[in-house]
Amino acid sequence: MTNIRSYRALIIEDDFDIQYLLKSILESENFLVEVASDGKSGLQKLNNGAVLPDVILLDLMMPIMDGRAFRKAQRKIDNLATIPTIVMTAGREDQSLKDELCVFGFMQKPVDIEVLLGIVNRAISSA
Amino acid sequence: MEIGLEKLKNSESFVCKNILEVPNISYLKFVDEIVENSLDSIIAIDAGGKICTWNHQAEATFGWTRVEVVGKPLIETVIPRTYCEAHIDGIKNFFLTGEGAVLNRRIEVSAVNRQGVELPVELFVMPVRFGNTILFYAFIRDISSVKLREMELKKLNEKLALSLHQRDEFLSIASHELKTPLTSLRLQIQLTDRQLRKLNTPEYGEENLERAMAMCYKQIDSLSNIVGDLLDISRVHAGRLVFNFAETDMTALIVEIVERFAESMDRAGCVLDLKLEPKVLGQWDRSRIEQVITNLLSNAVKYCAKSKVTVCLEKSQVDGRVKITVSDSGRGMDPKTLSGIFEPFFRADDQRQPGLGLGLYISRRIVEGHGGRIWAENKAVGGSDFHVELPIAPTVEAMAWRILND
Repeated sequence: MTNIRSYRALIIEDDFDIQYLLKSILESENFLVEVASDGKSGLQKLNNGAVLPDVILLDLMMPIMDGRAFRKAQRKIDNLATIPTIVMTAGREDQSLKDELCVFGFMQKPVDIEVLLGIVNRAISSA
Repeated sequence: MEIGLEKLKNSESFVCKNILEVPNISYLKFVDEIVENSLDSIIAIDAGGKICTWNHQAEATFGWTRVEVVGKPLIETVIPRTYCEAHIDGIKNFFLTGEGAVLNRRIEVSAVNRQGVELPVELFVMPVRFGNTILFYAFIRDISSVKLREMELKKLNEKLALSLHQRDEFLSIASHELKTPLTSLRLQIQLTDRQLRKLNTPEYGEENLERAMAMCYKQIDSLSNIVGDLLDISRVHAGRLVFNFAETDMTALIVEIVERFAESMDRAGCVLDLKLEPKVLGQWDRSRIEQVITNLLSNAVKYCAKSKVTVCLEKSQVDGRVKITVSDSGRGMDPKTLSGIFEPFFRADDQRQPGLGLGLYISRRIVEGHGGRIWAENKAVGGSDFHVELPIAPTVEAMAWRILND
């Protein structure tokens, strides 16, 4: 994947090891990566940042503010709602949950790097 | 269908001890016998509300004898005070309109006995005309035991529903906990794999490789711990938690465990203080007690908040019982948490802590299986003390406890 400009990603995930690994993977693909450990600090990063990310990777089970609550808040704000979001979950693939979240991509953990990069690629091309 | 009973129709010669003889009495007297022997209470009142029939079962159920109540208004007996007015109005209304809300159908109401105790009853009231006399016949069945059983069943169902809910929640948490290290593991291995292939040289960088492999091992250990906890829990529930009692040096065991925590304590900024009596020997399951102390220490390190963690080992001179205390100087716990943490699936914070919330419960089962006890207290100066008390050898009570509880 060749990038003319550096794409930006925001990873919202509470497990530090997974955070670190996803960051490494995306950085090795020339992404500029920011991380947050829960929905609330994810929102803060979005609202405080000068430049918005091109894609968001979102975990569902997190303390303080979980993925569903983050998504609900994100969709209320116009410029945030348009950022393609990819959910990664340890839970089952639940159609009603998918409908509720209405995200660009929905991945089950453990994730495959190739599959992940494929969806991320499509996400940033879709904008 | 011919079943050969025709011969018995002619019954004059038939002899039986328990049969009701109705040779020459009137039909009404016959009915009286039926009323008297009914298993339901049968009470009849006249148009003025006064009792004229009060059968044997009514005596037994309500406590008044027939002699005491015949001729008295019913409202002085089984009708609860709150219904008395409605009863009187009901009779008046019947004679005005020919109708009555409670008549000729089964209803559930309350009645009251001689002691004043309210009984739930089934009631059927039937107006009867004998020539010019109108009477109200009531068939009353005490359903107290039925109601009691209904309540017990309801409570049992609620308990079961709660258990099922807890189990489902637990399975959901367990599944999430297992998938987390699996995710890291897979990402790390795949990442390393790709890097190695991309570079195509053996010099991927030893440092990178070492770091990657260390990460993999860490996740596998984490997975192993979770699976171990799950296995323990299923053993506890199936009654298969078996102990291997052998001579153990508790002092040496604690020293060994503490050494393993040296690095993580350093990282957490905790200072360790050891107060161990030398060479404390006893008959315990070494690996299970190790599990308990490891669990307590790992919690202490997690919650020590960069301060002191103390481990004490004392042996009582009086009865030889051994006491191990692990203290931290963190923020302590509220009373509900202090007792709740030893229950299965208890999670102290909203903050999701990694793990299944089973460590302390399993520790408790292990300690109790040795005939000992485990409890937590808040320190006056802030932080918590976790105490484990063990007998010097498994007691008869411990053996019995296991048979009763597993």
